Amino acid sequence: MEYLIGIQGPDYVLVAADNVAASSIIQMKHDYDKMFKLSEKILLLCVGEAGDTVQFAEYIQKNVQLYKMRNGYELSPSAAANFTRKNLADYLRSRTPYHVNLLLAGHDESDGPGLFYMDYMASLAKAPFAAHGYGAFLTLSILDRYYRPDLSRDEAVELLKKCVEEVSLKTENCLGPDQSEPLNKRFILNLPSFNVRLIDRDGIHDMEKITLTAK
Amino acid sequence: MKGRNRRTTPKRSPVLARGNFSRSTTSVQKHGILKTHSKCHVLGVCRAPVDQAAVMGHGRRQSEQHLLDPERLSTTSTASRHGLEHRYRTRTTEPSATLSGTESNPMKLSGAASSPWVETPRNADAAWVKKRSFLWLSDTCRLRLRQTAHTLQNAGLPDILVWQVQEAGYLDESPIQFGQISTMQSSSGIPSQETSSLPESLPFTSSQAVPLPFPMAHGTTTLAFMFQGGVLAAADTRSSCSGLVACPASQKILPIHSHLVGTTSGTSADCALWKRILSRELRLYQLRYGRRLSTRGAAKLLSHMLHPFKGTELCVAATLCGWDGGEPDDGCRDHEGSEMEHGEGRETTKTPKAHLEKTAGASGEKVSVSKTQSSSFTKQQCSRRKISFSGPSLFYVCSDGTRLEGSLFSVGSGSPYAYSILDQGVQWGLTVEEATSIAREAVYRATHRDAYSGNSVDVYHVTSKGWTRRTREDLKEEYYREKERQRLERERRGKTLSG
Repeated sequence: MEYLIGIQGPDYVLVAADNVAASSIIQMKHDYDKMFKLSEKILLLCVGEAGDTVQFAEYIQKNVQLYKMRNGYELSPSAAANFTRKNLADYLRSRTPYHVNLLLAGHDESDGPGLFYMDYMASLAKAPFAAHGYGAFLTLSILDRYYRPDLSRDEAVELLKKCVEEVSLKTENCLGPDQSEPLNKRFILNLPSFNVRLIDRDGIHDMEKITLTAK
Repeated sequence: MKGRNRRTTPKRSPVLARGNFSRSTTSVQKHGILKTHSKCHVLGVCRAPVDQAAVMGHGRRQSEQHLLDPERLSTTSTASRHGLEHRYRTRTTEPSATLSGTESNPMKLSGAASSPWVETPRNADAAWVKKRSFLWLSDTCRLRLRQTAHTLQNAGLPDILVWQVQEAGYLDESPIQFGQISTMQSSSGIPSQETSSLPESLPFTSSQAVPLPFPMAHGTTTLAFMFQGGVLAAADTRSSCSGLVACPASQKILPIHSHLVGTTSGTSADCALWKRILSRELRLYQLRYGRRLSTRGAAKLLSHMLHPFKGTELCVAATLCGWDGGEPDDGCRDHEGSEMEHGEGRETTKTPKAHLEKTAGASGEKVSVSKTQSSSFTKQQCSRRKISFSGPSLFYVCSDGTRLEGSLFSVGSGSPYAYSILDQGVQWGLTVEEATSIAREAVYRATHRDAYSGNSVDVYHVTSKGWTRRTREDLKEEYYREKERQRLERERRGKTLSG
């Protein structure tokens, strides 16, 4: 029901997450932000079990900030991703594992942009594009088809929009009885709006929210 | 008992005077916490190896502890020494005796504890705290306290409360034990205190509570929303236990302090307890730092306090509805929460409306004179992230870890029904009367459809002046009124059709 997507370009990473905070069949919030800012150039996108997401993400966030306070410089995205994965792995075989799926996106001065895919089994993969959630089943093939390593920023946003349209309209592509408009907005697989952010050499930039209305 | 209270020298051995927490004797000796006073040994309850085992099996993971401990950051150990992480750390010095003394019987704090906040002016608070703190300590504790205070006074500190503020006595573990006690003890024996791995061989799921005497149910309808007149909270009053109405007149909206109420849903006992604990913690915060914790802070505090119990059968789903104000020690005029009982019916609108105008005026005034940077109310709405926010606040906190900020929430088995009514009518610009009416109707419709909600409806309204409560209204009357209305409507339609 939740959806995360990330696309890495030659010198930037574009990430988007849906805005729904749901509890069983009810959408409790329509404007919930699933991205956590770890540092000036690193974002952590976190979905999964209700309390685990925020607890784990905030824990990582505070530790990354602590590292910066102690040592005077920030962790690189790769180091932050490995630290996160290590924590997931440590708790995996405890009695209280964190059930969270993550995307970590960042820009390093020496290594360039990086997008890291992590899941609740503490796997880690650096990938040019990645997605989490049911929507991933629908959009990974789009990304496979259209992704190129040298996408410009506008092209990447267009690709992102393609994916997002797929997710928000096709997952509940069952139209009402008169075939004219999609079903009621409270249907849980309805993802009407997405936060979009771009990370590059200059930091994290908020981009325009993608909001898809019923056609 | 009389003879013992005459003791004038402090005791040295941890013999309990009242025998309430007998399990703690050995543990206290082992851990050497609070060596002297019997009543203050509740902290020892969770330190017993037995309790540690129970608590370790019971509790969640370390979170905040890692943050400040350098060696732990790099450790590979997954478990914590104390399975029940809590955001507090312990101080084993005596001054914490006062706090632990009060904490020792959280359930015994009388109901009168909360009303003084609401009714008495601020300068009585200090006296109240002193009185309450001394009430629960044994005489030896009191003597110790006086001695310490005396020394401190001689050292130049003016008041015992100042000393309290300086001493941040935090707990390492919760003094209250939930859930499993004997199962862990019998199965795993006494694990070593320095164990670095949790027992892995447990075949059962993480929740192994003491068997419940009867099945607990989570049926309720509670709702809360923000509007221009503050925050409105409404709830039904039925407590059910799997098909039986255990209490038709329970209170599901509990005031936490003069400007914060919380609606409760889930297990009634858990909610009541955690609300009281939250009240206590907020009060301590207020005493220590001289200002009220914001609703956001209270939500975070509650969420972190409930985190160790995730995965157990503790179920608390609360919405915290509050008004965050300016500096409380300014002697602000609108700081006395008043409990006004409104009469039933629509004629009450005069009072809330006048109240509302006063509120709006007061909040506007207060904003301009307070130390906060925002200049107007509307500006504050946009800049909610500023620390100096002053205005209504609404947070949803659940024991599964969810913590959401919003402007409309409904919780419980009747919440879908309530949501549909609220989604139709709630906007920012409602008057207090309209808001009350829509809240009442939402609860009424939900109680009509949901078996686990019913009986009466409570409505609370939180403004900058504090919370006010509307008289509890039996929804049976509303049902009959509606039936009457429908009948009249049918008759009228019948007449127009025929005529």
